[in-house]
Formats: sequence, structure tokens, C-alpha cells
Amino acid sequence: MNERSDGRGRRSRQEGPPVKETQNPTRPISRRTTLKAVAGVAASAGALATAGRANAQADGPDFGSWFEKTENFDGVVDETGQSEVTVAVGAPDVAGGPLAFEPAAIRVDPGTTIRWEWTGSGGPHNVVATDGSFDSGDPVPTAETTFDHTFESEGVSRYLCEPHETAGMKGAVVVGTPGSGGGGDGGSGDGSGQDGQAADGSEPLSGPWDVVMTGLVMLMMAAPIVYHYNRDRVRQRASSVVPTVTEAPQTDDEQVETLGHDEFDPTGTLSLVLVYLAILGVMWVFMYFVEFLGGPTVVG
Amino acid sequence: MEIHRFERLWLALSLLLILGITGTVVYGATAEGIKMVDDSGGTIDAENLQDTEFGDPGVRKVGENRYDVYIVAHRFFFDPGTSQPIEIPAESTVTFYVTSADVVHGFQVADTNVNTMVIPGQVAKLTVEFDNPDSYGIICHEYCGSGHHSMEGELDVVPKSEYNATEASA
Repeated sequence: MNERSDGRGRRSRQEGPPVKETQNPTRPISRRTTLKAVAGVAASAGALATAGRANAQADGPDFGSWFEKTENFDGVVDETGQSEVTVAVGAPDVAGGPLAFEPAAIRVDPGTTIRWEWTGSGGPHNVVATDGSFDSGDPVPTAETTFDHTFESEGVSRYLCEPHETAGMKGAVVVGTPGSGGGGDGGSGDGSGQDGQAADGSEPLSGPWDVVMTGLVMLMMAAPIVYHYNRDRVRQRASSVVPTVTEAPQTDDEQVETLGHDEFDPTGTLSLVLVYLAILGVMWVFMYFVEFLGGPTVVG
Repeated sequence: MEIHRFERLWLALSLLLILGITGTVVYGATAEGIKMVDDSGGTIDAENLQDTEFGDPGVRKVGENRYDVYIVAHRFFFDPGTSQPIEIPAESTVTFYVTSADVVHGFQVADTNVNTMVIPGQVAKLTVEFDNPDSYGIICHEYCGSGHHSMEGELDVVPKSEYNATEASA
């Protein structure tokens, strides 16, 4: 280190990496920097959204949070070796019932037909696969309704009852031994599980759209701030140049005609007021005497 | 202060309207016997409804032309009401006891003023006179979750002659 003098030495050292202080002389925040900041925030928010989604997708064939609220879920019930298996829809006597499939999760052999049987409890139900592979249609409440589906290929299917999804009325069918069993089968199980998750109707937006949407929303939120900032600046500049305009004094009062108090006839206003009053009267009679008292009423 | 004769007219009409509206409410409360839903239904342990009258909800005959209807509101159905309609005979006085097993629900017999909030731990008690046979929808009008829009039921007021007395215990 050979420092010739204090001033020169410091100067030469600063020529290495650029230092922010010297690059930006003190100056009010310009419109461009504001926009840059806004765009930056929007982009990072979009990135955050995609990161969150990637995380959510990561839960694989082990049910993840699928059965988080399903109180009657108690492991996968082994029903292999049978050609037809029945699952109760709206099981009344289990934990979380009657908003439950019982058993919630079952393991069957490929080629097994599962029959969902409505118990009639818990209101209208339906059976809808998250990957769309089976769907019983609109929810129905009727007991002894049945819905059959035959599972041919190995994999994990998740299904739910649309009206009671949030109450944990969810189920799963494990066909064969994917995931936990042999290596080859494991792959197919993983695949279908992932597909089911991705095709879940509750998440209609996919990656790039999230970024675009989040960015747009952030821009819309920032737009008024930028707009007002600019307008204020323009106004400030204008007010420093243009002197304030005072209102012109009124001078043309020679033409005013004087009317006596009752000579002034606002018949238009009167008719308008009367029409409004008439409408109020009709509505009042209709609402109280026809709508309210017309049918059965609470008397105690 | 001078008031224009037109202004005097519409001020008088407005006052008349206010008096009229107050008058109808008084008339409804006295002559028609309209009541508000109050806390007379009492409280209940929402966790243990099966040990109460709500353990087996439904219609009960309690006297000549008098029926009690116990209804439990769940997410997202009325028990009874949704999977099977509530059936009561015409020309009867019906007392509804409505409570919730989970969250706050609403209970409204559509197109009537039979309308209350259903709060877990509280019993809403409403006495209603049904004169004519008709079929009414029951709706939940307090947002109770993702299936709220599908939460509905049915109340059938059937002619007295067609009413099956054995159904009263259903």
C-alpha cells in the first residue's frame, strides 16, 4: 500500500467497486425510480406466489394435508382380494359424521368396482375425483343412491364431496400397491397422485398467470400513488408561476326580477315530491300488509 | 319564518307517512300479535345435542292442532328439512325450536317472516300459525361456509285430512 497523500489515497481506493453514495447525488425521487420500485415489488410478489405453489405441489402420494380435517381417517383400510367394495356416503356414526366417507381411505386390487352408497344422512352429497376420473354428478340427499366406479389401473385417487369439502368429507382409493410397495409400481402411483393434485379445480391459476395477475394487481394498486405524485408535482410547479385567480365580482344584478313569496310556484318540485310520496305509500302497504302479514307469521 | 304553501303540504304528508308507518307496526304487534324472536328458547350444550330434545329432531304433536318441530342446522343441511321435508298439517300452530350443531346458521321459511339466526348454544323458538296448505323453502341466510349456497330445506304444509298422524313422531 503506497498512499501518497490522504486525499489522493482515498480517491484511488474508491475507483475500485462503485459506491452508491457517489453514484446518486442527492435528488428528489423521480417518477422513473418510483415506477422501478413498483415493478420490483410486483415481480417479487409474483415470484413469492409461484414459490408458494411449488411448495403446495410437493406433497406426494402420502396423503399430505388431504385428510387434515377428515376426522374418521384412520389409515388405509385394506380391501384387497374383493371384487366389489362398498363405501358409505354420509356415514352418521363415525367421527366427523355424518359428513364423512366410511372408510375414508381404502386399498383395492386393480379391476375392483367401488360402490358408494348414500345413507341419507348429512344432506346432499356427491363423489367427485380431484383428477376428474369419476364424478357422481350433482349432490343428492336421498338414501340408497349408489354410484359405481371400477378402478383398472394402479395409482392413488382422491375424491371429495363438493358441498362438504371444507368439513373434511374426503376420501382416497389406493389401487394396487403404489408408492409404498415395489419400485416400478411406485412410479405410477406418484404420477397419478401428482396429477390429481394439479388438476384440483380449487386452484384455477397456473404459474405464469399468477405472476402476471399479481403484477397487474400491484400495478393497479400503485397507479393512484404514482398518478397523485405526478399531479402534485405539476400543481406545485404551476402554482409557483401562475398567480391565484380571484373570483370575478358579480356585477349583473340589474336584471333580477322580484317575486312575492307565494307567487313562486315550484309545481314541478311539488309533483315530484307527491310522486315519491305515493311510491313510498304503495311500497309500505305492499311490504307490510301483503309481504309481511300475508303469509304465516311469527306469533310467539 | 315563512313556509311556502307547497312546502307546508309535503311536510304534512311526510309526517303523516311517519305516523302511518309507526301505526302499522303498533297494529301488527297488538291486533295481529306479531312477535319478535327472543331468548325464550334458552341455551343448550351444542356439543351434546344427542342427549337433548334435539337428539331425535323432527315433528312432535303436543296438543290439538299444536306441533313442536325440532330442527338442527348443520353445515350444510337442516335435520330434518333437507334430506326429507318437514311435514305439518294446515290449520295448526307450530313451534319451531332451531339450534345449530356447529356454526352460526340462518333459518328462514322463504316468503314469510319466519326468520331467525341460528346460534350454536342457543335455541331459537318461533311459534307460527299455518292456515293454508302450501310448500315452503327453508334457507340458511347466514354465511356458514363453502356449502352455504346449497343449504336449503323444505317445509310442506299439507291438508289436515292428508296428514298422517304417525309421521308426527318422525
